[in-house]
Amino acid sequence: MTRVDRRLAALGVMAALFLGLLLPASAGATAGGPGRDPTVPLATSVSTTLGTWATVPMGNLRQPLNTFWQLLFLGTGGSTWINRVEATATATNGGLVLGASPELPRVVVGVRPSQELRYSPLIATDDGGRSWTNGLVFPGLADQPDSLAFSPGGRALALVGAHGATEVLVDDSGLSGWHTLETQSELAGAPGGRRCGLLSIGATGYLGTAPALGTGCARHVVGVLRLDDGRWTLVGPALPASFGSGPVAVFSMVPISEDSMSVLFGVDHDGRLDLGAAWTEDSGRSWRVSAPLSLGRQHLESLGAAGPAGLFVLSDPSGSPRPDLHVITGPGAPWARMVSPPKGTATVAFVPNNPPEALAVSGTTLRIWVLSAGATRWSSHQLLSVPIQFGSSS
Amino acid sequence: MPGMSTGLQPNNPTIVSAFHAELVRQGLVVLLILVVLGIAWNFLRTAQLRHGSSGNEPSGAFGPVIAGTEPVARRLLRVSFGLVWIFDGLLQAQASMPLGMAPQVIQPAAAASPGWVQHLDNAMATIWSYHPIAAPAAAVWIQVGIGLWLLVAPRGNWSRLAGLASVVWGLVVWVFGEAFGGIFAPGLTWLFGAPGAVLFYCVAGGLVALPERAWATKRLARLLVSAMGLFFIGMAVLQAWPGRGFWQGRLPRHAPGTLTGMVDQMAGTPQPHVLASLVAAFASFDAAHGWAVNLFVVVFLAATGSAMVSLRPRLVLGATIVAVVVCLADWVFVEDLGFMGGVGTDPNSMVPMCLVLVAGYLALVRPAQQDTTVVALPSLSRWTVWWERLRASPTYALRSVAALGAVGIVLVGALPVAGAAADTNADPILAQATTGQMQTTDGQAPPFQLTDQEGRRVSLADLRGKAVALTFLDPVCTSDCPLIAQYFRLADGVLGASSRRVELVAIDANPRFTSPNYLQAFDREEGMGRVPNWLYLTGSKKQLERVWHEYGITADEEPAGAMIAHSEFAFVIDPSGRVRDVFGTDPGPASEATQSSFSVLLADTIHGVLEPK
Repeated sequence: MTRVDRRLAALGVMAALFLGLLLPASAGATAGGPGRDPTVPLATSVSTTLGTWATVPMGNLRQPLNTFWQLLFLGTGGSTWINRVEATATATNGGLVLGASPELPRVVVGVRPSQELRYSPLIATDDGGRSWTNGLVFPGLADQPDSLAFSPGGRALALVGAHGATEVLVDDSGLSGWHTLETQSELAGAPGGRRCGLLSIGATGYLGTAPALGTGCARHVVGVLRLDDGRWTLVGPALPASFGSGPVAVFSMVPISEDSMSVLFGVDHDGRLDLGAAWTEDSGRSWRVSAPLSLGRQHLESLGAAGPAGLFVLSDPSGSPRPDLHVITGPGAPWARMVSPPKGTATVAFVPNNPPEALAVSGTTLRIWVLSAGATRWSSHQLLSVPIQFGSSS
Repeated sequence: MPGMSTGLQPNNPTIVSAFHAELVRQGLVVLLILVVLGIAWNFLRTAQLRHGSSGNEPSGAFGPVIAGTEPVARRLLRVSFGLVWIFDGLLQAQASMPLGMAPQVIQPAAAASPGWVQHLDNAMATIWSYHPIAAPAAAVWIQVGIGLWLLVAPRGNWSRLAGLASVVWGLVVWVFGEAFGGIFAPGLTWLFGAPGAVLFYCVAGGLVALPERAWATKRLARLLVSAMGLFFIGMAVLQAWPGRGFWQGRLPRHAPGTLTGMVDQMAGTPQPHVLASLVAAFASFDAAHGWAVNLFVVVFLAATGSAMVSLRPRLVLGATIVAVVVCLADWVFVEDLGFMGGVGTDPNSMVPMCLVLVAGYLALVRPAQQDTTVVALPSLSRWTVWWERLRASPTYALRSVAALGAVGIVLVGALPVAGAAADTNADPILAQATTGQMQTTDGQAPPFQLTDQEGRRVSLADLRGKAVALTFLDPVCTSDCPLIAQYFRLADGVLGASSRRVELVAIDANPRFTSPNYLQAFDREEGMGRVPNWLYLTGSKKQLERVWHEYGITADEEPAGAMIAHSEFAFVIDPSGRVRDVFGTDPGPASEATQSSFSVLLADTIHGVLEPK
C-alpha cells in the first residue's frame, strides 16, 4: 500500500468515525405528547345543614410548595367566612377534598398527599368546626374533588391512588378502618364496567344506601355505576345525539337527598369539551339529561352544587381576565351564563337562601364577593388576609 | 441523577475548611516523604563517595545506557505537560471543588450523553459527593505528583513510567470526569474542546512512554503529524455539517445559535470583568456573523489539516504557526481560558493541543540522534545491576530518588481515595455541614412512659441496658420527618451487629394526630416496620407536651395550611440512661450523599456510647 493510499484509507476511517458519532448525536428524539386529559379542579364548595364549606388554593400558585389550600366555613345565617384550615395540622400543598351531604351537619375533609406524605389524614366535624375527630386513609386520596363521600348511616367511600390505578375503599368504623371495595382494573372487567368501556374513576357517592361511582367511559353513556348485591351495574343514562361522539367522563356527583343526585359530566371532542348535567330521583333507575354546554378549550376552574338541585361550572376563557360562570338550576332548566365573577375567583358558593358568593384569591388575600340582587354585578363583601407560611414546606 | 450532588452550597464553610485542613495534613505527609527520601539520597551519596564515584554515567558498564540528548520534541512534551499537570493539580485545590465538582462539572458534562455514559459518570460523581474531602484532595496530589514525575525523570524507565501514569490518569479523567469528552453528546465541536482536553494529555503521555529509539527516525513524527492533520480534517467535516446550529449566529425567534449560546454561557461564569467583556464581545460578533465565523473555522481546520497530512516540512511549519495562533485565540475568546468560575479543572483543550502540534513539528524536522549500547555482564542480576548503577551515578541516583518522591506524592492522593471509594457510606462531614456541630453532654435523660405504634406501653426505663437514639417526628409531616426516619433506618444498617444493643425511638411531635393509627401509617409509608429495633411512641396531648418540654422540643401549630413546626434534634442516650450527645437532624438538601452521611454520623455516635468509658 502506498503512502497516499494509507492516507486516503485513514481519511476514510476518520470520516466514517465522525459520521458514526454525528448521526446519533444529530438524531433528535421524537416525542409525541400525551393526549389531553381534562383535569377536574379541587376548588369547590359544599353545603351542610350547619353551613357552607369551601376550599381554595392560596399563596404563590405557580409554586406547588408555596400553594396552600384553605378551608373556609360560612355558618347558616352567618355573614362572615372563617378559615378553619388549622384543624388539618399538616401541610395542605396537595389540596383538600371535601365530603358532605346537604341533609347532614357533617363534613369530612381529606388532606391530599404531597412530597413525602403518601397517605391522607382525615378530619371530620359535626359542629361547624368547633371540634374535630380524626382518621386517615392509606394510600392518599385521588386528585378528584369528589373522592370522598359518606352515607347517612355513616359509611364512607374514598377514591385513592393515581389516575389510571384508582381504588375504591370503604370504611365502616370512624374513618380509620378502610378496606378495598374495588380496583379500577377489576371494575373494568366487571359487566357494568365493560358496558361502559371503563377508562377511569372520577367520583364517588351514594345512591340510596348503595355505593356509586362516577367513571370515564369510552362508550356514549354517562358512567354512573351502582353496587347492587356485590355487582356493579351501569345505571347512568345513554347520551342523546346532541352531545356528539367522544369519551364521556363524570366530573362530579352531588348528593341532593338520599335517593337523589345530580351528576356533572363532560364529553371530549379532541380537546374540545361539552358539559352536561344529569339528575336522578330514584337512585339511578331513571334520569333526566340537560342540553350540552359547549366550553370549547376552556379550562375548568371549579365545579359544584348551585342550590338544591343545581350545578355550577367556573371556567377560564382565554383572553379574558375574568372567569365564566355557568349555572343550571335543575332538570329541565337550560344552562345560564351569569355575570362573570371578579378576576381571581377560585370557586363560587351557592349559600342556601342567599345570593351566590365568589371567593377570589390574590396571593395571601381572599376577597369574598356577593352577587347583587339583580344578578348584574358583584360587590365586595369580606376581605380575609391569610398568613401563608411561604417556604415552610421546603 | 441520584448521587450526583450533595445538595450543599459549594462554599459551605465546614466542608471548605475540612478540605483545606486535609490538604495541609497530606502536604505534611508529602514533606515527610521528601525528608525520608532526602535522607536516603544522603546515604546513597555517601556510598557513592566511598566507592570513589567519578560522577559520570558509565558508558555501557551496567546495562542499557542512553547516550545523546533527549529528543527535543519529547522534552517539550514531558516538561510542558509536567507543568500543565501541576497547574491542573493546583486548580483542584480551589475551595469550590469538594461540593461543586459533581453538580457543576461532571453532571453537565454527561447531561447530554446517552444513559450508559451518564451511568459511568454517576459512579464517579457519587464517589466524589460521598467523599468530598478525600476525592478532591486525591485529584490534587495525583496530578501534582504526575507532573513532578514527568519533570524530574527525563530519561529511562522512570520517565516512561511517568508517561504511562499520565495516560492512565488521563483516561480516568476522560471517561469519568469529561464523559468521554462529550463525543456521544450533540453539539460536539473543536471550538469547545472536542474530543476532550485530557485526551491530548494521554497522547503526550503515550509518546513519553515510548522507548526513546522510537524518536530516532521520522516515522513517529510522520504518524503524529498525519494523525493531527486527519483530526483537523475530521473536525472540519463536523463543523461544516448542516443542521447543528453552527452556521447560524441567531436562530428563529431570537434564540442564539449553538456557538453563540455556548460562548454566552462562558461569558456568564464568574471571572475578571475584562475577560468577560472579551468573551461577551465575541458572542455578539458571532451572533451577527455566525455564518462567516463558521466558514473561517471550517476553512482553517480543513486547510491546516491538509497541510499537515502533506508532511511537507514548510507546509507543516506554516500550518503549525497558524494553528497555534488560532488555538490561542479560541482559548481566550471561546474557551474563556477554561479554568474560570471556581470549578475549572484545566485550561481546556487548546493549550495541550498546541503543545502536541509543536512537538509533532519538532519531531518531524529534528529527529533524535541516539546511540544505545548494551553491555551485558552475565553473572550479575538485574537488581545488582541497578544498585551498582545507583552507586556509580549521582545523576541517576538523584533522578531515581526524585521520581520515587513523585510516586510517593501520587500515592498520598491515590491510597486514601481508593479506601474511601470502597466505602459505600458517605463521609459524616456532610451531615456535620448540614446540621452543625454536635453537642456533647452528660445528664440523666428525662424519663417518659408512652404508647408505641402497636398500642403497648413503653417507658425509657424499659430500654435501660441499650443505647437509645431518640428523635421527635410528626407522622403527617410532608418533608423532613420521613427523611429523618430514613436516616435512622440507614444508621441501623451501618450499625450492623451492634444494632441488637440499640433502640431507635421516635416520639410523636404533632399535637392533633396522636392516635397510634398515624404512627402505623407513617411506619408503613417509610418502611420502618422492617426495622426490628424501631419504636414510634405517642400519648395524650398532655403527655406529649410534657415530654417535649423536658427534652426542649417545641411543636407549634402554624396557620394557613402549614404543617406543625417542631424542633429537629436527635439525642443519643447511653445504656445507663444518660444523654451523651445531641445534634440537629435538619435533613438540609436531603441528597443521597447527606442521607448516607447522617446515618454514618449517627451510627458512629451510637458506637461511641456503646464502648465502655
